[in-house]
Amino acid sequence: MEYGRLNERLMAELESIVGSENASTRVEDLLCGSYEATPLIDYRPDVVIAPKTAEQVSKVLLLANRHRIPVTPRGAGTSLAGNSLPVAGGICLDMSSMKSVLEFDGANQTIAVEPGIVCDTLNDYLADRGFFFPPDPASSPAATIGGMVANNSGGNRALKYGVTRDHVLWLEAVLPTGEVVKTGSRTLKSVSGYDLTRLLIGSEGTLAVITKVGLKVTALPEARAASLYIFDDVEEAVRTAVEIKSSGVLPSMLEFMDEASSKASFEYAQMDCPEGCAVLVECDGWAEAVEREAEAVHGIALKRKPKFFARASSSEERERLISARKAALPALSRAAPTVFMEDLTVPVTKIPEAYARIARIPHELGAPIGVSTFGHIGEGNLHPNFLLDGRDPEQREALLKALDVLYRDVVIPLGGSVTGEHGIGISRGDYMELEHGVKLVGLMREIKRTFDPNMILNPYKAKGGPWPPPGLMMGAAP
Amino acid sequence: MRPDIPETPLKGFLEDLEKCVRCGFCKELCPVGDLYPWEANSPRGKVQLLKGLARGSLRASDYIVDRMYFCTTCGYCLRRCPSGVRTNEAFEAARATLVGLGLGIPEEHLRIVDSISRFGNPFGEPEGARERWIPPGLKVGGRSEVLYWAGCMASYRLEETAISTARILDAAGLEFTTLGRAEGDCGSILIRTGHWPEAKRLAEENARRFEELGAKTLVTSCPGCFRTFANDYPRLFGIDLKGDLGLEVIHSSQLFERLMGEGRIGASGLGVKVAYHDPCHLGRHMGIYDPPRNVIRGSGAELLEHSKSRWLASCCGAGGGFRSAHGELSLRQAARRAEQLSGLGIDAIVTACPFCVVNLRKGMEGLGKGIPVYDLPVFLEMAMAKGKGPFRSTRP
Repeated sequence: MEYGRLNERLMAELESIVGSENASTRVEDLLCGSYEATPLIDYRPDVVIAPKTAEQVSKVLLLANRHRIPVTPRGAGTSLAGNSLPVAGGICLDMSSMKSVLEFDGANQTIAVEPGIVCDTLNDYLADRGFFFPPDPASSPAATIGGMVANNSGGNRALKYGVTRDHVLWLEAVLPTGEVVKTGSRTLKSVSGYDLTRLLIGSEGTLAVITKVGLKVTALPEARAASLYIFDDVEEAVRTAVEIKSSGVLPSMLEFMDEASSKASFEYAQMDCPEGCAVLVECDGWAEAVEREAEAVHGIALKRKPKFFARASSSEERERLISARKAALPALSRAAPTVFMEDLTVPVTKIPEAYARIARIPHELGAPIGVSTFGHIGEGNLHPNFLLDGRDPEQREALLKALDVLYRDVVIPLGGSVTGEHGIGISRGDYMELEHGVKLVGLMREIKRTFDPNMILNPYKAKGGPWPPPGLMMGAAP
Repeated sequence: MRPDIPETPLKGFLEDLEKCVRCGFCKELCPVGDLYPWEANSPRGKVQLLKGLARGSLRASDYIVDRMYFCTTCGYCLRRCPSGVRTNEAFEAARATLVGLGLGIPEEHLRIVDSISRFGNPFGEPEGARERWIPPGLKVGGRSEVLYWAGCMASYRLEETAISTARILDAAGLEFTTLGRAEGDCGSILIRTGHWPEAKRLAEENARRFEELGAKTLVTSCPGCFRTFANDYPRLFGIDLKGDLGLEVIHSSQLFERLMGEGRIGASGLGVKVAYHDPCHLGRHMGIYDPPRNVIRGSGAELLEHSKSRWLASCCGAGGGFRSAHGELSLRQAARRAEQLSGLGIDAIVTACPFCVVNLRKGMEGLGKGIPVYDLPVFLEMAMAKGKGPFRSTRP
């Protein structure tokens, strides 16, 4: 795929669209557009652009399409699979300046926002009005709503509340050919036409650039209760989770951290807990119901004889427990210079088998790397974290082998999916055909070509094209 | 740049910077990153720029200098970072490194450095004007167990803070002394803006004077002075006032709380609702969150808490040389913070920092809400007068 290159004349046109203060080719700004939360992988754009309106986005895309300049949209840059990295260079389209609340409608329980608003900021706004936006990725202090929509983010509350797509009513988006379109409906029900809203959700910025988001909002629960149980082994933790789910209680969170992850997280949160496999449960709803559900959960967990338990007695304690879980990834970075986080799903009952297989991978490869797993046990969504020193080429090589074993030999044979919530990005492209088959992947590529004939939007991301995606370019960090 | 780094103040942070996992948790509440959303303005962006410098993939540039000074040193990023990167201290060290390399430092900061060296204060005010706040009869100079350090801001720009503090201590029957015109600068703004050799000279000079006075407790009004004496002197210059001189450094809010607990001052209340604004250098940097709150509650006022308080508190926008270098943006941040707290339905904002008072008042001006902003000692003195506690009014 031959792409056009940025030149002085195009740069002048881009500056005239967004203003010279919102366009930069400075080496420092290119470096700042070259990364996201994915470690070890960096690709530099040729220019960073921060548009302020959909009209500006449209003009930028029209220009880029005419000259076949790649455009990679980016929210806060918190993805973990290279989703927002400008693999083919070109334009890094930084959407984080478009961050306003456009319209809140409490009676209809909807809100319209620009894509750059941060998840936690949106929830602060909504909390003042008695509502919340339930999807709760660990990156919620930084992740933008636009990025969450583009990646169909899940998070800790997905078991009860679903993922981002379950809360999006409509989108305004700019097609790579410059047209501004609106998908979906303001109403809760609509089966009018193909569901293009759902098609754009999770498309990782390969089909269109999202410029407005219409969301459903949910009334804040009256009460929340959280408790923590620590078990000797992962099997007991999984059995507890399965029993809780089949008891009729639908927790708002059912989370898991293995020994190394929980140790790092509790140290970060300055909590004095014994080492072991931690299960964190949160129930929410009416106070009386929460009390009963929390009691039921506690009874089930105690039967499994945890070595330790703690029940949050105040909202501060609950927040502390949950923030410890949310900080699991960065907290693990205290244990190793590089933490490479993966994302997979398996049927819940297969978790012990998957966990055991994952734990053996470094040993089987004879690789000088470690692994620690946490995740959303209620949905069978595990996050194995490979621990290494990314500065060492041998360890980077071992990591690539470990990822291949993980997806090829563990996830697919166990009937899982190669990503539960982080997306394909560039790091899981090789497994798309393995999971979906050649026919369906071909269909996906046709969809991409229909939206984006010149393949300018977020190229080389596996959900679209060009195909095949490049292998991980590791060690290219600036 | 690379070959020089090991010999610069940034040296101690190189391993630290590598711990950054680029999670971005530091970005959203960063006051300046939010004022001007642009990755290089965010703490995460700054850390990557410094990594680029350290690895040699970037050369020191005026653009990097500007980014490093686009920061109020509020420390939100420092407390937010789950990986434990000492971001804020690294940015200060980067400033010191860039100053050492002779790069384009903001002119306003150079004027401040010049003023401190010529007049002993950052405002270019005559040294003699420093004692303007001192009421008649207050002990100046001489030996005492307690030394009250008013600081430049309270001495020159917010005299009410120093006057109320002196009166409260007097009312408590506490014997104390001040340095008057000889007080000088603590070095805080020099450290924050990267002028470490100049700050070190002041630190040595101040330590010598403290030793001569033989005081056991040093009380500051300004959280910047407090952090500088208690934290930066030992960390940066190896001058440990507590360990070497037996001099305990405390913030005035801690002393007020102590005196209140001992029953030496009391107040029965103004019957008002107030919000407390946590000054960054007192809260996030020094971990002092409760003493000012206890004093406010002890004054009988109803304290309302905003969700962005304590370690999550938004900055007033004044610190780290940001107000002098980026006046308009600094005021925008002050207005945002003032508006945030005003939304609680309060009668007044109380804080414990003269810098915050001045900036928040300016921020409040544009809101048209007329909610007053008080420094803690001024608020406490009003409450004591109202409550007819043991306070002896000596206001001239």
